[in-house]
Formats: sequence, C-alpha cells, structure tokens
Amino acid sequence: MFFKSISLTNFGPYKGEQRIEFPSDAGVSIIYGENRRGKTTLLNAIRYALFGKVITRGDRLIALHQIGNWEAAAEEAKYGFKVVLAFEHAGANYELTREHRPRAGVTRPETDLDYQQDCFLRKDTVVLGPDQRDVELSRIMPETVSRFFLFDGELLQQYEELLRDESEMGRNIKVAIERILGVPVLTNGRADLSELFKDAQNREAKAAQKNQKTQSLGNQHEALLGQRDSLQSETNRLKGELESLRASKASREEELRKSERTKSLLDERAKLQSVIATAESRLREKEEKRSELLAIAWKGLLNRRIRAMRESLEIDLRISREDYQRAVLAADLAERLRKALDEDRCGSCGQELIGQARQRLINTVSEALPEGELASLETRMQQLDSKIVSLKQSESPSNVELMQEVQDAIDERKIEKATAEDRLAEIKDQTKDIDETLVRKMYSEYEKILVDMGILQEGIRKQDDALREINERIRKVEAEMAKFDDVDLENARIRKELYDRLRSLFSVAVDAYRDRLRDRVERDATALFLKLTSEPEDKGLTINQNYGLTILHKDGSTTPVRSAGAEHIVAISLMGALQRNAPLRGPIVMDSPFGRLDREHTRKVVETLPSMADQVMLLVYEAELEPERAREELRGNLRKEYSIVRRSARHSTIETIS
Amino acid sequence: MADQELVNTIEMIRARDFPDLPAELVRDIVLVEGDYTENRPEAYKRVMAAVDAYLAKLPAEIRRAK
Repeated sequence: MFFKSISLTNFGPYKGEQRIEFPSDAGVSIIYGENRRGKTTLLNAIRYALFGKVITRGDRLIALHQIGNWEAAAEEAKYGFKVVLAFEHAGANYELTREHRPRAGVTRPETDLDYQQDCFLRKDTVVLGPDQRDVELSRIMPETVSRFFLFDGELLQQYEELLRDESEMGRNIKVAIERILGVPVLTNGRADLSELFKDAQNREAKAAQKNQKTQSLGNQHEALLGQRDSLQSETNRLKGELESLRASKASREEELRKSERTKSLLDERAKLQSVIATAESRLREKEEKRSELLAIAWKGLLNRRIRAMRESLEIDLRISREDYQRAVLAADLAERLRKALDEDRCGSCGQELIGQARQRLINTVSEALPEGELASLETRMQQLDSKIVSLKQSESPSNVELMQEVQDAIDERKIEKATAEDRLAEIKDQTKDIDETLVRKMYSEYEKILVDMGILQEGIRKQDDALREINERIRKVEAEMAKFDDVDLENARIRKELYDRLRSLFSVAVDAYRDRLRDRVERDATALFLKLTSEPEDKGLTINQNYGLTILHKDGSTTPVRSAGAEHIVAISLMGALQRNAPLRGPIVMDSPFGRLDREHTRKVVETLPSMADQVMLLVYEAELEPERAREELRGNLRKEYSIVRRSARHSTIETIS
Repeated sequence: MADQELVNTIEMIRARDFPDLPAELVRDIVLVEGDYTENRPEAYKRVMAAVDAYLAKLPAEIRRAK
C-alpha cells in the first residue's frame, strides 16, 4: 500500500476541502504543525477513511458527530465531513471515499444517529460492491494491524505490556503482531482443517451407516462423535471462562496496582490506629506509676540530708575500723611483752631481761591499750553500722531518677501518639473520598478469581482426560470400520486421513513458524536498536514468547526497568523489525513520536526512518524536530514538507513548504 | 497474502515430516488462508474445495492403495 493523496472536507479543524498530494517516490514526508492545529486529526482522517473510526490518544473512540468542522456548521450550516484517500496496492489504483452526512430530514444533527455513513472503494475504474469493498480493504490493511502503521507516542508506550504475562493489552498486541507477521494464515488453517477433519469423521459415520455390515459400527461411531463434540464444546466453554478469568485477573491486577497506594494508605491507617492505641495504653500505665511515685515523693525531699548523714557515718565507721585494727595489733604486742616479763626472758632472742631493758618493757606495757578499749571500739562500730543500715533504709535511693524515667517514658509515648495522630489525620484527609469497602472488595474478588481459576483448571484437566478416552474409542471403531470393503466408506476414510495429516502438518508448522519469527524479530529489532541507542553498554534485545523485548547489557544481564525514552527506542525497534518481517507492507504515519526522546536519539530515529518503510509520514511540531536538522539528517530521503497553518482556533489549512 | 517465508517454512516441514502430503495442495491451502485471513467462512469453504478437488483427481488405484 502506498498513499497517493488525501482530501479532507470539513474534517476537524480542516474547513472546506484540504488536499495533500503525497510524493510518488519512496522516502519521508514531514507535516509540521504546532499543538492543536490538527496533526492528530490528520492521522485520524486516514484512520477514518480506512476503518470508519476516530480515536483519541490512548485509544478511546470519539463520537463521529463531533468530528465535523465547527465553523462550517456554525457559520454555513454545513454538517458532516468527508475523506478521500487515494492509494496504490499490488499494481492497482484505489480511491477510497468515506463520508458522514446528515440523514435525510435532519437539519441540525446532534448525535451519531443523526448521520449516515457512505463508503465507496474504486479499484482502477470499477467501484466495488460493499462486500467486495470490505474484503479488499481488510486484505490491504486489516484494522488489527493498523497500530503498526498509524501510531503516536502513547501507542508506542503500550508495547511494554508484552513483557507482562496475562496482561489483556499485551495479549491483544501479541495477536496484532502475529497478524502482521502472517501467523493466522497457519493458525486459521489449523482451525479450518480441524473442523474439516471432524466433518470428514461424520461423513465416514454416515457412509458406514449406509452399509448393512457396518451400520452398527456407523451408529456407534456417530454416537461417539456426538459425545466427543459435546465434551469438546464443554471444554471450550471452560477454556473460554478460564480465558475470561485470566483477563479479569489481569485487569484486577492493573486496578490493584493503581489502588496499591490507596491500599497502602488504608493499611498505614490501620497500623497507626493500633500504634495510637498501644501508646495510649502505655501512657496510662506510666501515668499510674507516676501517681504512685508522687504519693511517696516527700521522702525524696529528705534524701539529700539522710545521704549526707549516712556518708558521714560511713567515714566514722571507716576510721573506727582502722582504729580497731591498730588496737588489735597493739593488744597482741602488749600480750607478748607481758609474757616476756613473766618469763623474765626476751621472746625474740631468749636472753634474760635485766636492769633497764626490763624497766623499759614494763613502761611500754603499762602505756599500751587501756583495758576494755577493744570492746568499746567494737561496740561503736556496731552502732555505726546499725545507724548506716537504718539511714539507708530511710533513703529512697532512685526516687528522683525513677520519677524522671517515668516522666521521660510519658513524654516519649505522648510524642509517639501525637506523631501517629498527625499522620493519621493526613491519611484520613487523603482517604476521605475513598470507598474503603470497594478497595477491600477488590482484593477479596482478586483472591476469588485465583480460586475460581484453580477450579476451572482442574475441570479442564478432567475434560481433557475424558476427551482422550473418547478419541481412543473413536479410533478403535474407525479401525473396525476400515476392515470392511466398501467404496464410499473407503473414500470417506481417505478424506478423513488426509485432513488428519494436513491438520498435523499445520500444527507443527505453527510452532516452527512462531519460533522462526521470534528469532527474526529479535535479530532485526536488535540490529535496529543498536543503531538507535546511544548507550555503548547495550548489547542488544532479547525476545519473550509474547514478542516483548528486553534490553540486554553487554555483561549478559537484562535491564528490567527502563526509562520512557528507552521504552520508546525499544518500541520503534520492534516496529521496524515487524515491518521487515511482515507480509503486509504499508505507509507508516507517526504522530509526534519524538516527545520522549533526547536530541541524539531523535537524530538516530530520523536517520533510520527511511529504512523502516517505503513511505513514512511524520506529523511533528518544530520544537520536536527542527526543519533544518530534519533536512540535514534525512538528506536525500526527505521527499516533501508541509505545514499546518492556523486560520482560526477552528480552522487550519495545509500548505506545502517549497 | 501469504509471505514466501511462511510458504517455505511449511514446505520444509512437509517435505521432512509429511512427505505423503501433496506439496501443491498444502501450498494452495496456505495461499487461501493468506488471501482470506479476514474472511474466515470464505477461507473454510475454499480449503474444503481445494481438498475436494485434490481428492477428485486422485486416481482410483491410488485411492485404493491408501
């Protein structure tokens, strides 16, 4: 498919008829337009012509009665709009006209129902009938693959979904990727051949019923086929339910991800409420303790004096003990001297005590400790000790410290409680509009989905076992029927076996082709990615079963989280790889695709564009891609430039830049 | 429209694992499914017609041998 021209009448901001003649040579065309001038509308005009629908960024459908030009309606009472798209495909020239106009009798249309849509497809000189037109259009550009030809930055972002198993959007994108790569040719073939095989089995049963010898076998065969079909249909129903549960699970996960913040706020709120309750209980305990301490606080006032007295008595006691020790030693010495005097001989040298020496000893002994001194010292020490013990008992040693400790704990609990209450107030404010029951319900429903999926999986397993068993019984009956010589039966059997072999071939081919495609897409996307990335440590891309691509670092590890810019580059690499491997070819129309890219990446993408498709159209604003730089980077591949010019807020025109 | 790569892949598997199946018939089915990917009833009808045509041309003796 190659666009030749497009003509828009009263479509969005394009008042009256606006026409763009596209260059006939392969290359890139750029249409510049500032915000709100009509770049996305131009992309939508192509989408409208091809598929009869208009979408917003982010994939939402826009009601078609809102598309007509506002000024034309308000000033000239001209309602409705029209797009004529001319293109070439497989050597034929096509002109596709799609128009929305008010139904007969409606002078002031207000809803989609007030309009009727006309669509004509002219192939060379022949205008095709509606059925032929639809078949032709769906062959040339199936809507399912349009995302690879007509896209914007938001659409590029969706490719990350391919990395998430069970994501509904990811599954839809995978289906579209396989569609553009031609996989349905084989999967549809496999499905058709499976159905035709069943039909052939029924024919075989009918053929057997016609022969008296095989009639009973034919009846048995027919009955078994009926049972098998019922089982199969029930299995399919269960599988359909499982699939729908998988989709629900994925969308619930998406909702849960979105409500994760809410859930965490609600959880934090519950936790804070418990923190406050605990703090209050501890606070009560400590306050009771403080009351107890206050009741005996008077003791604390005497403490210092008692302590001083005790300490003074302890000094006296120490002195008394020292005196006592000295007295004990002196008494011992006096006793030995008395003994020497009694024996009249020195206790150390054994010599006789005579004259002055004897008198000196008598003097020393008489000056020694007075009688009863030791006992007096002992009594004093006991008294002191007893007083000290008594004073110690009167002291309330840690009263002040304990009081301080309790007060500190009270303050700490109060701070803890106040902090929790502040945060709780914040959370309450943030969650005041949240329906808590709904969030909790969402979580419990998610749990239920998981349980239901388990039950369904078990049911499907049992159905599959039953199917295997019945197929074995069918095979045995068919083997019995094959023993009879009957031309019709033989023909039916040949037909059935042919279909059986063909469906087996297509089944093997589906897996083999998918594997080859994944290898090729990975290889081509990697080649493109390495041209686009400015990170020297990137080694390439690795592909998963869903065609999701992950960046591979040169050390062999993957990059699990990537920036919006990297995401964009990977998506463009995937688009390029798909274009290279798709049987379907067509023009690429990109709307503001560089918004997330830095200058260097933009340059690389621009330089790569001509290799992505024969015809590339860029819808950009000048700050996103400066015309001078675009000319320099595209060099000979830039075919034509256009500018969307503002006439009024609701009126734009398209002009060619010469 | 079926890609040549796709036609080649299935032909390679046919020749290797299903040599008893006629290459022409397999190719016809692939082309029908390629041309009518978006029109499933038509594809089904045409695949059946292709197989019928093949079976009709099958000589009786080969049919008996099968």
